[in-house]
Amino acid sequence: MTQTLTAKTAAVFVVDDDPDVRRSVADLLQSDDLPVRAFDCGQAFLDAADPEWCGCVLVDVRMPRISGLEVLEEMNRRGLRLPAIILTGHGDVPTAVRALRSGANDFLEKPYNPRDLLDRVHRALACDAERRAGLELRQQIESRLAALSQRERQVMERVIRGEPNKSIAAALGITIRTVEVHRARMMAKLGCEHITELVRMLVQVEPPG
Amino acid sequence: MNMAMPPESAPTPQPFLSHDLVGALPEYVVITRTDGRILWINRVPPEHGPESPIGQNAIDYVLPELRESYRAAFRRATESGTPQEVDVAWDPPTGAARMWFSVSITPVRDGELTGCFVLVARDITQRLRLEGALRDAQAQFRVHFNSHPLPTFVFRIERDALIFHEFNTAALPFTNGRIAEMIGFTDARLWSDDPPTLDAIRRCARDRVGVRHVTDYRMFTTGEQKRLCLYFAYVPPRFVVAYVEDLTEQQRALDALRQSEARARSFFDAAIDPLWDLDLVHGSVVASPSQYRLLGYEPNKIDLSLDRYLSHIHPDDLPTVQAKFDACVRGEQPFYQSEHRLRTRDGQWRRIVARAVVVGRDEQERALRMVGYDRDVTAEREAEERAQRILAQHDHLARMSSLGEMAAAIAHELNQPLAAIVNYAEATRRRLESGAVASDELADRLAEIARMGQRAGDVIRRLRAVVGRRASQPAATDLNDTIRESLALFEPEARLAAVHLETALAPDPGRAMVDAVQIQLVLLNLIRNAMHAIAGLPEAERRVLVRSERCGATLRVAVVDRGAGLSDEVMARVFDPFFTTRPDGMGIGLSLARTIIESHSGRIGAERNVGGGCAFWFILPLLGGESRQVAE
Repeated sequence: MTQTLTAKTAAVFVVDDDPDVRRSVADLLQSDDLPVRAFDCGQAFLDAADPEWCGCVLVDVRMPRISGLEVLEEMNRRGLRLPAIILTGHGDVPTAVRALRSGANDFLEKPYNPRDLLDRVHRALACDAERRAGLELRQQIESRLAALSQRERQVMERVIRGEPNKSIAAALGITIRTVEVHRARMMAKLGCEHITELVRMLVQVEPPG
Repeated sequence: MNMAMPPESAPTPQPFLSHDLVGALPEYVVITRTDGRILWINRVPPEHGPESPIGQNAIDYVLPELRESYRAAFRRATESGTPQEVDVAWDPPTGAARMWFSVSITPVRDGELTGCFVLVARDITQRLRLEGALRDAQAQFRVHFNSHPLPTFVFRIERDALIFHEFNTAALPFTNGRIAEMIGFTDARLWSDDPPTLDAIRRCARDRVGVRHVTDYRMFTTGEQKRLCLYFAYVPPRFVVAYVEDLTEQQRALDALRQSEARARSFFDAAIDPLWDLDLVHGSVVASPSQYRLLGYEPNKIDLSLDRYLSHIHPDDLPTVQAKFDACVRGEQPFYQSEHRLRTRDGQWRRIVARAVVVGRDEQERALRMVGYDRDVTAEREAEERAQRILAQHDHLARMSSLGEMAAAIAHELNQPLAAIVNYAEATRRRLESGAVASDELADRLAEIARMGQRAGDVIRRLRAVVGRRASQPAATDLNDTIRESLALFEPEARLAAVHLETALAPDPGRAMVDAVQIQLVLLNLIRNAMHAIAGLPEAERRVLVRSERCGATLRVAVVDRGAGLSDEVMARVFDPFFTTRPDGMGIGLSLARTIIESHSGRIGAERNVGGGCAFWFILPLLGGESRQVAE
């Protein structure tokens, strides 16, 4: 699954104030060929954090100054969407609930099985990859939509509502022939051959409802 | 008016009336010039002294703080041309008391004295003094009236009725403050349904005598039924004062007393508490029906002898009951009192409190008769024990939560190196598996793992140091007291678990310089362990003995149980941190105990008893002749 971390900004971001734990976790992740970027406190991580980053965050709940939960809350505020695994010393219910509410995707109670840790990291990375793939597709579609002329866009909106060319022409005050031209150009710009393809593509950008 | 008097040149004015007549007036008549200087005066007050006032400015005779109103009166007189009144005070230069005058100022409008003023000053000093005295007396009366503890009401005597005139402060709470609404009511209205009281107050007003009158009265204001004692007193010239004493509570107490006397008469017959009357000579018992029922018999169907009664007492309790009973019979105790278990005929156990007294003795002081009761306290005791169980749980929870906090802190501290160890181990395993590891890399990881193991050990050492250091407050302490207090804490728990807590305390325990709370913690741990150790034994063997013995300059305290004892292996490790044989144990208690005892320069240990079970003991140094502190 390491192919999910091919981008040069991709890594497992380890945030832990305890140098022994931090180094050992890094060693464990590296033994699985995962690139690691380690931070010794929440502030250092937040200062460096970039929305372009991908991968996942592994953060200890109990740290001086800024706790793991506060790091997650701040990430939420800044719109950093990296999946996060929170490590807790005592897996009590309130901490778990707060962690999940703060946007943690997972939490792991210490002492943990290192294989379990690696599994969770991979799951988080897969989740992030999926998220990013979806994001990329959306961006593509959005850029294609942006290339449409105003007329082509008007025609598209009526086409996906199932209006025939004749009524589109009447509504826009143009000839059926002109509608056909706009429609063909619109489909070509969006890379669609059939109307069902067009609808499926648009649903990904704007979920129905 | 014809006053021939030149304003400046002639200092002696011609009297405008007969000089003698004016001189005889009780008022002082003064003529001043426009500028206020005195031209003439009919007579000089004796308080003035020998100096002549003529030529002085009249205003100099006015107290400075009153001069402004004096001048204002002058202005008013000038403007209106009519006489103006003003009160002024004067401190005579002879040192006589301050004098007050009511002065009438009249401007002279014609004749030679035009522009002059005629002042007529009346000495009102005496009047003001009397007024002040009257005010004081009234104020004093009001204070007395209002601070009188009894609710007091004043009635004004009118021609054909008494009118409610006023009331004091105490009357307010008595009537819930509603009394004020009744000012102006007639006596006939207040006591419309109480003719005897109406008659009493009228008799007071008519005959001018004091009247005491007791009445059951429904309060006009609050609707309460009260028994009141009213004292009516005539106050000249036209008032009746009514003091009210509330006898309601007294009456209630009296009623209750009467009732309880009546109850006492039918006491034995209807006794709820089982009563018995024991003939000690013949061993026969007369008992109330309830006593029979307590034991499970039909009342009076069997012959209830002393022997039969004793056969119902729990065998474990019997020796104590017998001893207390005998002590009372022999007259060593004024009464017999015991709490013990009674078996009913159908085999249930009831817990009862028995109490009795000897009511007859012969010439040799031998007891003949004893009367007493058995009170069934089973339900009470069960409720108490339930409450204590809940309390014990709370206590346990409280202790567990502080231990829990400590445990969480320790867990975090230990988790860190443990996490590092497993991470390194797993990482290294994976590298070995893939064959991509150099031997120096391997050595580095192993060194890290060893270092993490050290770190975990340090956590434990630090923990012990912290526990030993916590809040030590040494004071000279009688350790026997500490033992008794610790045992007292266990009493409810011991009763529930049917454990006998026994002591054998040194008669000369001396004093040790210790933190009593910490030593108590040690004792609590040892006693709790002992109670756990004997939990499975039959009741008769469930005994924990706490013994203190003097050994020279030290005191040895031992907690001894007859439990299953400990194996050599366990004995060697019981004081180690986190070592426990109990599934719910944390293994902290004895380790903590050792830390505490050692921090008090003492020793702690465990040994097997010859007869089974084991003894945990500790030895603490005692203070010598002079108070010296044991090393902390």
